Amino acid sequence: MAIIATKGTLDMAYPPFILASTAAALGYEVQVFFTFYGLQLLRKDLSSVMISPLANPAMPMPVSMPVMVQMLPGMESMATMMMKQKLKKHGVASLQELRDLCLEAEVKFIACQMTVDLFEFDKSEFIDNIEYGGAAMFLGFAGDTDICLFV
Amino acid sequence: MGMDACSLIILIMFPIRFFQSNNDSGFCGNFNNLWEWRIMNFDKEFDASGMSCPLPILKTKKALADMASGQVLKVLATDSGSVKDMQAFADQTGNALLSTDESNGKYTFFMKKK
Repeated sequence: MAIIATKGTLDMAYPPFILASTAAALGYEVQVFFTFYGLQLLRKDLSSVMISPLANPAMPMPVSMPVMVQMLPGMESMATMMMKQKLKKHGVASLQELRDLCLEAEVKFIACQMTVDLFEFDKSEFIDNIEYGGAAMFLGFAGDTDICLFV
Repeated sequence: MGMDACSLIILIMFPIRFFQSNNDSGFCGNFNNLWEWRIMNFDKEFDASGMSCPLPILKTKKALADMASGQVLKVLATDSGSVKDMQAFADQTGNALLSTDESNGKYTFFMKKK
């Protein structure tokens, strides 16, 4: 199974990690290619991965909130904190835990070299057991897979 | 001697099991578990209660890793999605799902390692 992870928010971080870890448990060989904002999911410190209620009308809110209020400073941190509490309360694994389970199950993580150069990221900010590569490297693997997803 | 305690229990439980096949709730559910417990031997047990998808599957996979072929793992869970997930996991990996049981929102699975 091959997955392309392009989003770096808390909500969009779950699908690639959940699918990759579960597929690995089912015996699939899995590679995840992290590109653009998806690269944030490979940071050693995942605390910067947040969720925003802004421009996300589908997000269930405890109280309905006008967009003008949602854009106030601190709202993002608050939404992230509340989301993490909710995930914990319902027994959903943390991103860190799911990522560790992926690595343990030998899911291969590939970071997009072009994005690293584009945003001038320092490779020391990313976890160690990953590879760096480009589109051709990913397609070399994806071409032979049964399942290929873009998240 | 005619009948030992064990066969007596089994004899009593059989009609109860039969009787409650259309009744999954309440008091009978507890007997259901008791019956499973009587016949199902297992080598290892773990409790995935409170865990959500995909943790019950991932932890099952981990628990099976250090078991020998033919050994039976008992898994407890509260995630209702785990019923179909466990079956899919068994189908995909070749481990045998011996039984699935629900009682008061608690699910019990017995999985035999391939």
